[in-house]
Amino acid sequence: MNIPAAMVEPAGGRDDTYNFAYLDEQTKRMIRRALLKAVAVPGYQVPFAGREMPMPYGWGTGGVQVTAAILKADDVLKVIDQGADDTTNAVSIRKFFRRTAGVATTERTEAANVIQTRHRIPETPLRAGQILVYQVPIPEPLRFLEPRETETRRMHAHADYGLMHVKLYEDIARHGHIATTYAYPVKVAGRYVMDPSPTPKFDNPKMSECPALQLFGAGREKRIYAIPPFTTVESLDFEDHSFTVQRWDRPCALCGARDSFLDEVVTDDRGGRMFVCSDTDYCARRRDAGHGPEEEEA
Amino acid sequence: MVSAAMIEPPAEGFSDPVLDAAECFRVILGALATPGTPMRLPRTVAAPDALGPEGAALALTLMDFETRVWLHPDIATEAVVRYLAFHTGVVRASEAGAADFAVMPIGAAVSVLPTLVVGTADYPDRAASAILLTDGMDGGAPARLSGPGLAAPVDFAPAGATSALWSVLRENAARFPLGVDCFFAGGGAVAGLPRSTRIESGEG
Repeated sequence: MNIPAAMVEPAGGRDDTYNFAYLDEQTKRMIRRALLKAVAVPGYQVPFAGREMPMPYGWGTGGVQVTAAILKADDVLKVIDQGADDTTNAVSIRKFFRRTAGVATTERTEAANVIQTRHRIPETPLRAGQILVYQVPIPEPLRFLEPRETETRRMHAHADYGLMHVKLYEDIARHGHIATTYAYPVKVAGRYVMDPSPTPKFDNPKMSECPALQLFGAGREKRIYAIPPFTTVESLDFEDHSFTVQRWDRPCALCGARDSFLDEVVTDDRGGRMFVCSDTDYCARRRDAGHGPEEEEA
Repeated sequence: MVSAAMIEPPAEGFSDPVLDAAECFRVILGALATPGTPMRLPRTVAAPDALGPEGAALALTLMDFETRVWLHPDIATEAVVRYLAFHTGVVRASEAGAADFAVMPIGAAVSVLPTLVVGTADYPDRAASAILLTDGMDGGAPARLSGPGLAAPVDFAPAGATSALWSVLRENAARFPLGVDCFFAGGGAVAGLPRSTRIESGEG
């Protein structure tokens, strides 16, 4: 793998008034033990003693705690928010770990070995040895169907997931198709139904048999779960209404990609809009390689 | 009165407790996420003989005063007990069935593993982890492993493994999502065997 050095911001500049990666060692060990249980029981939500972090709940405190517990000094970290490396949440979390851990950072997907993400999986395929850390707001896929934790826990224990199929069926009855487009429920390794976090269902197929380790952290709800590498992840569906991903009738307006997830961007107050790749690294790399708008039509 | 000179200090632990634990944890995490695949530890630590540097690295990385450890009588030498107490503060469990971690020679696993806690249907995470000390990662009875973490089946034959051990571990896996998660430690490496792994052994 040849990654130009310029693509990686080198390690250094750690503020050593903090412990390495901010958390104290006791907390890291507690999270590390939870992570091992999560890997051993794929898709099961392991309770953990989530700490308050120097950012509000909803800004990725679960993902940040998981990243802090796994980070080592020679890691190269990438942080994305809705696919973008340059949005507020991604920039502030990257700066947080540059300051507290002094690790190298990058925007290149394949140059990173730890990627923390909010709501997207990079378009560039992940490889063995990489770890993808998801920020999760509501880890319990059954929560909006059954508010009681005691009941959802029992449902997971009995693998009683009929209610989830009723919900998907009601989508079909109302809309004629499964209208769930994000946080689309999956079954991991044939056992636990899991919330993939609010990623678009476009990304669900990338979770299955992924060579990278996938870790999920929910800070407010204090749950950690995981998908080991090369694990089957199946999106729930019906024989006559099979799972499908979003499609767009136009390519990315910047790089012409037809295989990536597109965001709609409003460009003026007269209804102008454009559709562009949500994965900024993927889009920029395609443009650097000479791809441009509408090239497939040319 | 006991003079300080009479108490011999325990063997040294990690030279940098923070960064060494971080490096060791990533190896341990990778080992459990890739079952039956020996992973070399990045740091060697000085350790009492009965525990060995690999068992010591696992203990220093994962154990503390919030966890209970059960030590097999062959492991529970005074040097090991003092080493773990000094470096980790881990609480000793008097019986294996009350432990979060159980440390044993691989030869004792057949009798010890069935006595460990396997979690409950509501909380399968409340299960013990077993640390099986071995001389190395080959030379024992082989088993073919498949399941989460493995792109293709792998053969795993840690020294000291027997067909009886694989039979106990198959029963452990059959209880999924309950069950014990195992780490094999020795010969400069650690290997993981989570309860989710399917086990076929040649000798039945």
